[in-house]
Amino acid sequence: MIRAELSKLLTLPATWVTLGWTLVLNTLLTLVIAVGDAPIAYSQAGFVVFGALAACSEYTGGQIRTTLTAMPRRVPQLAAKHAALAVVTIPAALVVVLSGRVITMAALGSWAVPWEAAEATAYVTLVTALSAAVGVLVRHTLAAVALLLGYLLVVAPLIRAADLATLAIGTPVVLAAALLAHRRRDA
Amino acid sequence: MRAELSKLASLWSVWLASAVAVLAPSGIALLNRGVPGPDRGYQELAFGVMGVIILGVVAVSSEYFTEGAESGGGRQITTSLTAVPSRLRFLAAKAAAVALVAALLAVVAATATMSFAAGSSWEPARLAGVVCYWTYTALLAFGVTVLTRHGVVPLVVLLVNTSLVSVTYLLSRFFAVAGYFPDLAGARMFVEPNDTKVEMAPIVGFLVMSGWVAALLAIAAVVFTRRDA
Repeated sequence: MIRAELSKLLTLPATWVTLGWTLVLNTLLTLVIAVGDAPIAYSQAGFVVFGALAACSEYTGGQIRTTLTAMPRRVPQLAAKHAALAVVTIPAALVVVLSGRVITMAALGSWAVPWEAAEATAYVTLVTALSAAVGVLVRHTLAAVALLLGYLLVVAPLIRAADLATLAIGTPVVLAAALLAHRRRDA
Repeated sequence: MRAELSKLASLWSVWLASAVAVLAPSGIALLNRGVPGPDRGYQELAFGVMGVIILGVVAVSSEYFTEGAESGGGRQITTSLTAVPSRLRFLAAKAAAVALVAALLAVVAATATMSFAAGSSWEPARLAGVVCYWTYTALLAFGVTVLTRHGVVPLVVLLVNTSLVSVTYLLSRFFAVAGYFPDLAGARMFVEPNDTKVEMAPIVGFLVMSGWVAALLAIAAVVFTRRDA
């Protein structure tokens, strides 16, 4: 099942376009403002789009009906989708985070491997999972992206909730809501 | 124009955009009411433009959205242009509808936010600046989306740029010219600049942003009249 979800994800051109542009923009931002993981605050937007696309691409056209005919049990299907998403996201996030890191370290001349890089990777991976869950809930890429970016970039920093801990608690909650909605409603 | 308004009102994304536009600034103002600060209320309204950005983007991208196999894989834009063959009139009507809705939202959001924000006075000139800024931002989002014909990219770029510390603001700390970006220049209409390098009176900010909007809409109109739908 994870293999099937993985093949759907990897054959979407949008996957490669989104992740590629995220890396390019992250590099550019690091070169311009060059302050450690700060570009991640902006380039997390790329991962928001990626997660939302992975979930919502099922709903543009009738892919979801084919998917659910092949895998009628919905909870395992959605779990497999998230597992596949994580398999793609973790290495991609690591590459993006480390690219920023390497540039900064080259500029500063210090080569300590920082713990924050792992933290940033975990953050970005959780953001992607959260986006996919919201994507399943609203079933519309633009709406999902708009909601998440508004929350992550403006509301969360303003109410001081933009940290790993909030995300680590919030993501499973939203994911559970998405699983429940996906199980109970019409495709 | 009536047709364009009815298309807008029937999109649920537009209702989402309106909710964001009104609730985000007033909610933040409510949370921050105990905290004294300069420009309370006006600062919150600067973030509320998120809502009108969504509005401007969705107004155009919904025309190009393929509705799926059920509706014959068609796009709204082919129907719209059959009904209104004059491209310029079509674009003008759509821009007018977006501007009208954005201005209305700005008035509602400003009223709500200012009544929550303690310690800020109602200054008609600055509030007019807020309305103007929101309308122009919606038109900028509209113009960019006409050029890209797809919603995700302009939405992401513009929303990321409304974040707490915007990309253009960071750029303006390194390059003075970046102070003339439309969002930074336009914000001069209602908030004091904190530490940017360019000094600009509100009226200059208004003129700079008007220039951006006029140029972008002109480019959008030329491109839109010349290419295939």
